Amino acid sequence: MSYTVLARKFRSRTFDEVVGQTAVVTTLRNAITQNRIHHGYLFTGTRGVGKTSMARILAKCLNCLSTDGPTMTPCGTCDSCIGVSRGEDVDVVEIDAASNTGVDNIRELRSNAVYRPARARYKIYIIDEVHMLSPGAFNALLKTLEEPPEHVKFILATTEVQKIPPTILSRVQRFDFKSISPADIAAQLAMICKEEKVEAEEEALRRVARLANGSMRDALSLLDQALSMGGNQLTGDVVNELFPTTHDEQFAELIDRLADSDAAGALTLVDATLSMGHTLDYWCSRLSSQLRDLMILRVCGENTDLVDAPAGIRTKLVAQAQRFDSGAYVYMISVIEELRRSVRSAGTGRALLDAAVIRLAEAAKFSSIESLIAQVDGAAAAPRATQAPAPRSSAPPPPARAPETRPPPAAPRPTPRPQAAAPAEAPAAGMGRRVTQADLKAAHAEPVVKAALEVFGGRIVDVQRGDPKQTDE
Amino acid sequence: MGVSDKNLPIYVIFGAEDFLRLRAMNALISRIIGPARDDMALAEFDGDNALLADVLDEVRTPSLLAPVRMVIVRDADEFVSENRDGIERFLTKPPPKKDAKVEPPPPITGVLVLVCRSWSKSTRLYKIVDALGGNIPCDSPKANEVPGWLVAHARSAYGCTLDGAAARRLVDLVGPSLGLLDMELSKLATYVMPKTMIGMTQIEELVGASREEKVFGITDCIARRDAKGALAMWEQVIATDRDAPYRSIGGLAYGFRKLAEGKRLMKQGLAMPEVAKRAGLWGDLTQIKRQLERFSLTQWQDHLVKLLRLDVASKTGLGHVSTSVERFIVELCSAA
Repeated sequence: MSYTVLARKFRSRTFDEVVGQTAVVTTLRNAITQNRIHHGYLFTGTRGVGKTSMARILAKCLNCLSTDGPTMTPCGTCDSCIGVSRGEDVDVVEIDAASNTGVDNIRELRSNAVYRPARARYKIYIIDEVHMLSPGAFNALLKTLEEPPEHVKFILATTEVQKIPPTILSRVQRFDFKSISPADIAAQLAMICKEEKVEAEEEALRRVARLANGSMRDALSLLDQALSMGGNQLTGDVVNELFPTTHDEQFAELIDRLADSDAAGALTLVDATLSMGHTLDYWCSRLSSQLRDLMILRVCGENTDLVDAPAGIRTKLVAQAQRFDSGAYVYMISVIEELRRSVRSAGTGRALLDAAVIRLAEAAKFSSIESLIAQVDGAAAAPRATQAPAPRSSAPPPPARAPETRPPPAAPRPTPRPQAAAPAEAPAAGMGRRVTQADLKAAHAEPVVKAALEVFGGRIVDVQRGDPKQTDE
Repeated sequence: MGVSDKNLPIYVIFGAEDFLRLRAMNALISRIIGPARDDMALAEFDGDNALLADVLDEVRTPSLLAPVRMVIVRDADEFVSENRDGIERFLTKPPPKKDAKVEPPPPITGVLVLVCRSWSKSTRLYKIVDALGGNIPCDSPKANEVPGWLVAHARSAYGCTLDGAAARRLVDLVGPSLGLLDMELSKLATYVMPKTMIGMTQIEELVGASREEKVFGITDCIARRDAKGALAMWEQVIATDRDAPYRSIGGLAYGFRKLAEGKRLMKQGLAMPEVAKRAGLWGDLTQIKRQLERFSLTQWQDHLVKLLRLDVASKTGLGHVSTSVERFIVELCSAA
């Protein structure tokens, strides 16, 4: 017997089996039990969230031959239910609008719609990818959708609802299918693995669920791939081998060097990564992607589903994410994006890249305006060591917000101070230093500073103490 | 239903709102030929390609099996423009003298129904139909009247209770199109069954899942400095479809423009209800005020400039749009 892929084998067949669409299921069930079945439905949502499955379930509920009327629990064994499941029922017409886009196709549909169903209660048209219909076809459909014969029901499905004309939208009941949460997908995968007698590690299932990006069909396809490789065992190693993470140890090391303000070490690593054959553009893309993961982990916490990383690597990433604060990540990604644009057109791409890396390594010594203001206001509960300046912009610097509008800090910020850069006994410039109100007042009192501020219309954002020769600025 | 003395030779259903026109037409069909909608008594034409002679033939020909025949011309704007004189002649046969009294031509076995978007009051035809009493205007309620209309419609059409705040939220999510609002109400009424109370929770569960809504949600989260929430919503937006990120920048800019406008009005010293009304900001006024106070006017404008740059970069292949928006979100949420 030929193998049936999991996505088909475990396709939802009843309302109870549908995952993650509770509100839609409740409404459709109520519509059936209360006899308030609308003549037109539009199911929309990203791929693999159950639109077509729900359309078939609804068709079975309406046409199941084992009961006298529409039922919430179709038998699944009558000719109609079997036909619908196979997509070949005489009264349930499935149309792929992607390959039947023209007005003639809809005219044919209209001319057939007037005839009563052959054996079931309703003639049901399931039009998949309905957004692909031509404007003429939509217009032709309009009249039928407005006042279809009583025995006709339409179920339209699309991933791109914004392409559907408003005239159609106002004639159908629209249901937005939500992306399925990784937790729901993982639970479903666990159930399927159990039925398939596959031993699956919980972490491996969670990783597959995250990779599926809200789509159950994608999750089942990924599971299929993993099982074809790992046999009856689904382990983290199998999943990692099959779907390697974008995390790269060398780039992680590079980010550590940047946090340590170790420009030399960072440049060596740049050379090592480029010698692997990466183009400058690809290199920028990889670093940007890795910084993005760290930024998300820093902002959303270690349990976020927005970052795809297996457990082992995730722990490392979480630790590394603490080395900078969110502002620093924003700055670094901006620099890399700027670099990416420049290297495409410049003949000296490598020089630009090296310069950018040095700039990033030096950036760890600066503090952002926001953090300084926060420190001056005494709002920062903990020192913010590695704040980087905001990306250069022609726009004026943002003014400080009124104290009463600033929410209290959500959590004490860790100190991501690079160990090598700032000795504890001399926290001079940059990391680990806190500029106090007294510092600012003292700086303001300096005649030279005062004159400079008047000439340039500027304001003080940082104060450096100690011997200027020992600083980098 | 027999031929009623109340039936007129012509009805003109006009107005910009499709839903109201359709409702008026169905009500008329139900009154004139009965709710069973006997097809023998109904003839329909498409105004774009209907000929006056065909239409009038239908009107003048008594129905074989029904006491009255109803002839509907949909989208009749063009039909009316091209056949104005002919319709006037049909209604005023014999042609009226200067002081002639306009009377419907008896007996009425055929009723002509014109359904059009515009119906100019200054035309002779309008005045003739008006004298007969056949004009049925279907004007859209004003924007601020839509929630009230929705509350009343929920009660009359679906027997459901919808409070004012929930109605405003629904309008905010769906827009002012009465047809779309009716569809959402019908869905919500089915969802809450057997109960009849539609509240904010049900609206959020069943209606608030659209991408547009998420984009506005991101704006709200940014204004609240909720980076985590904004990033989670952004993830859902980009999961929706491949092109979503590009379009969503426009959505974000739309939200930011409204907030910037709100901030500008606030700076002018306007009261919060007026600020919210003029800037098109819906929801809790205290929360809106807090959002507006989050950034200065210059900052709100600066955000728009950043979004513009991001948009340009994404459309010229100079930046990864998804990462750029994430960076933008984090930057704004962490800004002091």
